[in-house]
Amino acid sequence: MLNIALIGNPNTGKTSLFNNLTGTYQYVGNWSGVTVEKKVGIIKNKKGNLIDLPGVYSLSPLSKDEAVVSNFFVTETFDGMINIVDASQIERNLLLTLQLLEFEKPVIIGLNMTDVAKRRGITINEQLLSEKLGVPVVPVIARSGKGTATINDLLTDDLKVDASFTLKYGPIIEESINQIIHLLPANLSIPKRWTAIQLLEGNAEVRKYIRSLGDGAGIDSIIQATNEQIADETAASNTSKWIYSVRKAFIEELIQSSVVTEESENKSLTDKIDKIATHPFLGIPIFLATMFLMFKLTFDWLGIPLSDILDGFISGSLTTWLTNGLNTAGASDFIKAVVLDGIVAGVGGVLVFVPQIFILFLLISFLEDSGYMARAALVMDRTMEMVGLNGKAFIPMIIGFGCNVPGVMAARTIETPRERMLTILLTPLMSCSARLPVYALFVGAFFAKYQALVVFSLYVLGIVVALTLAKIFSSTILKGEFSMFIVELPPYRMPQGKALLRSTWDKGKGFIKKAGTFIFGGSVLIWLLSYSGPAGFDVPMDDSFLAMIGNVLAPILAPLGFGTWQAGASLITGFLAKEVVVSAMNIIYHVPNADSLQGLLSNEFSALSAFSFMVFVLLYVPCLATVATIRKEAGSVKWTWFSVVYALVIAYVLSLVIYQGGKLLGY
Amino acid sequence: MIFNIVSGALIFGYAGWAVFRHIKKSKQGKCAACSLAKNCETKCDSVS
Amino acid sequence: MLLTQLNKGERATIIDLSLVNESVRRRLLDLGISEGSQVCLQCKLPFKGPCMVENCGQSLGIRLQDASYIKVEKKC
Ligand SMILES: Nc1nc2c(ncn2[C@@H]2O[C@H](COP(=O)(O)OP(=O)(O)OP(=O)(O)O)[C@@H](O)[C@H]2O)c(=O)[nH]1
Ligand SMILES: [Mg+2]
Repeated sequence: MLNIALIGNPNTGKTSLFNNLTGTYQYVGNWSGVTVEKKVGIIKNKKGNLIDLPGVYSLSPLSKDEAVVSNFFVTETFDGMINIVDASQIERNLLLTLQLLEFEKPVIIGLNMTDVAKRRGITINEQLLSEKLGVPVVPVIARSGKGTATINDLLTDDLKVDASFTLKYGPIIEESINQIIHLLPANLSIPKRWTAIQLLEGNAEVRKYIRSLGDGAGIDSIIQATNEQIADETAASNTSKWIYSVRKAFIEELIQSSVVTEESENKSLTDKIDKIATHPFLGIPIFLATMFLMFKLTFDWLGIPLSDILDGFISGSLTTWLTNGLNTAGASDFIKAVVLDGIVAGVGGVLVFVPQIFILFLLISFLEDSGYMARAALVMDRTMEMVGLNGKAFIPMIIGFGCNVPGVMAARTIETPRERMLTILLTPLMSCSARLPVYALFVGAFFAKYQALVVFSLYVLGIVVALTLAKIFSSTILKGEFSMFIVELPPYRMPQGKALLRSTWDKGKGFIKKAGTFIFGGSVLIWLLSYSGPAGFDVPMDDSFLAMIGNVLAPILAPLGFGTWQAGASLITGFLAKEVVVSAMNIIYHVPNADSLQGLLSNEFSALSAFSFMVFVLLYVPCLATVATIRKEAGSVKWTWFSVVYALVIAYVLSLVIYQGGKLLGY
Repeated sequence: MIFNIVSGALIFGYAGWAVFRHIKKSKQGKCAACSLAKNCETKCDSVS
Repeated sequence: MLLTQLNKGERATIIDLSLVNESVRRRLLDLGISEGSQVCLQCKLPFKGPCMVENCGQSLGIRLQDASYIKVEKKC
């Protein structure tokens, strides 16, 4: 079995190629830092594994996702690499290529985005490039799959190793490289010359690794001495700059000979869209308007009509069929109750909202694939800077609207540890899609005319609370001066229909799967708890176990406007997965469809307490999966507990203020 | 009667298993959401 | 002169990056921007917000503060 690693600069299409070669679907998007974790897939030709890695500019990491790659190089074994090079940005992409070639493993260069390069008037002589670098160069268009067959064919058992490529760095560096090579352990598993160069360049991960193998004092002093010598004797001020300039000079020569660029300075579409999207004053309003439009579509225009149809089917035909079927089979009352009052109410009550969730995912996928994400980060940077974060932190937050788990992971691309921690802690405040059914249920019952507006206000509230807390945390417990922000702004790309549907399905299928597994299970258990009590089975619901559990919380929740055992019980279940809150309510109120539940709810809640309830659901504790991810990403139990506790406190305080304040105002 | 016992056992058995598995998977955090989770060898532990 | 002193749409060559913060400079080098690179200031966001700079067909966003440490020379 071969192990082939995919390596290249960020946003060059590595994951697109991965998907093409393995036939799976991994997350693709048009910004830098989509992939933040190593992913392994089986190549279609069954010759081996393909390993997708986060994008890196060089092998010396600055951020956590880049460290994944450096770590991979020093600690894992693999047989070859596919280096994806963006043909339209070939110069800076080759800086990484040189470092890969020095690793003395077979390399195939995939020259991607050839369509973009062609449009920009860039012609690359891949034959010449291949000769000069001594490795195969295959032009591809990863997005459409053109050329990927050639790469597939090249991945055979006898990958050619052509270790002939060496770049000489001048007498001072070469001397130091030799000295370091002598000091390295004889049985080192990674190439010595590469290791020496990386050490001289100041690669922290490699240095850590070498230190872990033994005492690195001798090496450190060579690095130190080389630095001084370079500063004294050359124009460069330190070793890494010198190495950079040698590489750059080599690449310039290479490009002179093999790349032809025709000047075609017509204004691209990107420039025109950018004029609007990052307009000095309209930038933020445009972002908000885009979001609002999203909710209009999700609720008023498309979502509600669709989910009404679904609701009609589930509570109408489906229930009738099931009832008839169960009667014919001679089912007992107990079985009938668990199926109709438990499963149909619980699972059906959530499935009804599938249209809304898919529309929202479709829109998020569109944003991700269009190139708008990086612009949103740019536009928000000033605001984020004021609260002690940087614009890049906004990207995890937008991803968090889909699901908080990938959102928390996306924080890896943030360079400074302090800002990264802040982002991890605050991303769960973003209203994920699992909370959408809860809103949909309540706005339908209480705010029928202003559905989109009310939901929109909840999303904005999430962002506002997150930014406010960022300010508070960054001036108290997470203090620090340093903050940096540089973001690559990729050209806009019109998302392709097929890719868009694929990524929407990929996000949405989890929801449907969950409905069939966990929500099903949860509904049955909740039903059982509501059906049984200390007095046995089939008790009045107010005497059930579920009521007993809910009653513990009820007095605590009373000041927030929803001090009923029903609300308490459904909120507890929401910790496992927030959709279950809706299932629980459906079961508790004993109605199989959303319409009648909404009618019933209006007796139990007022518009004000409903809003307070939604705010509470928005903010109170992240779900179990998110908590587990925070635990892994933050690497600290203390911070994990903190994220749970602060969310509870904020939710309680805010709901209290809203409910009591609203009452004072006379709502 | 037999129908009742069998369907009851099926429903509650499946429900219990589904809840148990969800909690177990959620505790792993990020892997649960990944479509490669089954044949992914790294189990997402390359970064501590 | 400084990068931030350019007018919108003007091109210039970078002549000195040594005053820029270490990590920021690393990132700039990663993106292929070093002494001698041609850049164009595409726009500045209001309230001292970041600015958009183009180099070789690649746009990037950088904070005003950082950009004000970049010395450039206007193309004549
Ligand atoms: N025009 C064009 N677009 C492409 C091509 N290959 C990929 N893309 C687009 O480029 C963007 C980035 O693709 P990804 O596959 O996510 O890139 P990546 O290298 O995995 O990015 P990171 O994970 O962030 O490092 C997506 O919007 C793709 O649709 C191509 O050959 N031509
Ligand atoms: Mg990727």
